[in-house]
Amino acid sequence: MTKIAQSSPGLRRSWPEAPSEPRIRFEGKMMLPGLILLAALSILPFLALVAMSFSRVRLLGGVRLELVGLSNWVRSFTDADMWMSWLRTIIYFVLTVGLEMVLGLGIALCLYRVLRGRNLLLGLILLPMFVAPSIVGLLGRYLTDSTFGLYAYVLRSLGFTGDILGSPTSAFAAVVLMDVWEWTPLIALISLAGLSSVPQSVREAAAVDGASGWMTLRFIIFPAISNVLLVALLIRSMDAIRYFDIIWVTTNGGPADATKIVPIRLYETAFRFFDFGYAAAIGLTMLAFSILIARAFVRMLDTRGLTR
Amino acid sequence: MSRVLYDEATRIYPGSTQPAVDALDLDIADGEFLVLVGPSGCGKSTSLRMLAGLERVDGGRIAIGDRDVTHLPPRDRDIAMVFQNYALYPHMSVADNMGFALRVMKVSKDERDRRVLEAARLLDLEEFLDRKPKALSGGQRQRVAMGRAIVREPQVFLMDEPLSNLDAKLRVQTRTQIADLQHRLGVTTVYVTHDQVEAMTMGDRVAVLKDGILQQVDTPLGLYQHPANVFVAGFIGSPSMNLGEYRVEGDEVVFGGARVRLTRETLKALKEEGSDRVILGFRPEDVTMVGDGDQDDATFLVTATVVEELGSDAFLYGQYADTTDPRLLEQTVIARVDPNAPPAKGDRVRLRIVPGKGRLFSASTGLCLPA
Repeated sequence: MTKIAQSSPGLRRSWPEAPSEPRIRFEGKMMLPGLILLAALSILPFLALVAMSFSRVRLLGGVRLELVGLSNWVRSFTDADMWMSWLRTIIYFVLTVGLEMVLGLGIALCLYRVLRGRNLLLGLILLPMFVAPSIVGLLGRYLTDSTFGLYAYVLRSLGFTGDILGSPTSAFAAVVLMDVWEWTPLIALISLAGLSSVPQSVREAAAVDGASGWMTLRFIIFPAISNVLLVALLIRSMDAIRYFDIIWVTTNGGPADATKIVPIRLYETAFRFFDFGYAAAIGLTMLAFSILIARAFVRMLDTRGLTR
Repeated sequence: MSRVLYDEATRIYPGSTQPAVDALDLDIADGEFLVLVGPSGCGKSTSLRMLAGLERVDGGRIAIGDRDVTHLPPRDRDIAMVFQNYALYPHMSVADNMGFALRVMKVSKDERDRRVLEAARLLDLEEFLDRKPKALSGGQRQRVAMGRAIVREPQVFLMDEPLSNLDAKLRVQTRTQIADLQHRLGVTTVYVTHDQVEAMTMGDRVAVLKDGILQQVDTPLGLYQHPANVFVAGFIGSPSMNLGEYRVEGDEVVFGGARVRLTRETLKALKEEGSDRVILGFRPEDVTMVGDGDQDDATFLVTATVVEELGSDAFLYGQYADTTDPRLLEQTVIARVDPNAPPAKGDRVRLRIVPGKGRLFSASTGLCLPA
């Protein structure tokens, strides 16, 4: 199309001899508006963020950047509190994503066995996913409230007398479980789709080949749906790293920083202490971490030849 | 290697009152190649799956060897199955696909490799052992599926239309290979197909099913020459048998201007039935063209509408010319004619059924009448 457009109308019938490739081809031109929008929305803020991470940001008397070199970065890597936040993020990440994967896959395997009313059941199981995270947080706070919360009451009758969101371990467990409650259905949904895509005849072949239920699962079903699971893992991981809503609504990072994962600390640094330079450094580290994890997953998918 | 026995085996799918397989009785000898054939929905695949343990048996029983396997899960039946779409494990190499059953059986790695290699040699798959099924052609996949079954050294091979996904040429080739392989291995085989040519060329015996009911079991030639009923007569043979329901007048059946005398046995059977109608069938190769000089009561006139010349054969498709009966005019008569001197389209040809080759069936029950 480009080639025709370039040549004069009289030459339309014959191809121009060895046409030089235009610098931006047709496809490129069509993508340009999108790219410009993306630049305005992402690239410029990103560059500003990089600049901020090397400066002290003055807000009073107009925004000013004072270059401070690497001090924000040095601080972010030497700050013991920061390291604790990272540790918590990683524990939080492993616990939530791990539990969600195991439970989601379990639910999917059960649902797959259900023949009648599967869709109704699936619909019910998916409900938590449709609740806004901050509402999940509010709901969680309500249910764990030490005076009138249902779970608090149940736990009290089981012998746990403390305030659930008031003590470090139980607060951490509570926010983990809230996240698991909300996002397990997504994994179940994706896993179920994966399970349904394994041809019936392949399962039957395994049965005829003498494989027991567990062996079929281990050697046939898991390998067959591992790609789907990997995609699910990728989606959840990206979410878990930047996780914010539920913790902010329930514990606000407390008690005693017990649930202060990196995103919460980042928010605090930026919008409570207005230390934008330092926050920029933390934010960029988070970005790098996310990219690293995403790359790892994409590479895993790539070696299986699934990205193309 | 074992005998397989279906004893009034019945399968009724949930939500249906009509059995998919209705009291199937089949005795398959050790080492025999039995073909289940029939139109789609006749219950042939269901019968096979019942033997495999993939389908519940709602009545009767199934035995492999001396063991009643009616309610055993597939893995305890010692069978191997080749699926229509091959059902290869997509993430495993050819070697792993073939060796999976042995791995499940906890056969040692050396023994496993040896048997896989042996089967691969037999099937010409040696160079593909490391490939994934994705990277194989349809014919190769089919062979891997066969290999997976062979490696098991099972009591029974079950094959569910294993050739239907191959192109015509490969199908004919593989057909002979499978029959040959089965003969060499001597493993009892139950083979399902909807293709009667496959059934006729491969099976030691062929079982014809329709609507879940076994119509007839016999050798291919037996089915061809002595069909038990109208359905088998029409199903077996290509082009298929000419079949038509005609009136009996006195001791003759009248059709298309011809009168063919019936035997005393046939007449007796008709009388017992109290019917004055009969279904007459004759195979395309069982008619001869007669010159106008030779015409008699038993000849009939046909107008050729299509003449198929295949080189070794020629088939005439025509319509009865000497009749005004609209039902007769609708019928197509197929006749094999001399390929060296075939009639032209539009020619009127006089035909006669070779004496003794006409088949008569009851118009009410469809069963073959004594001749």
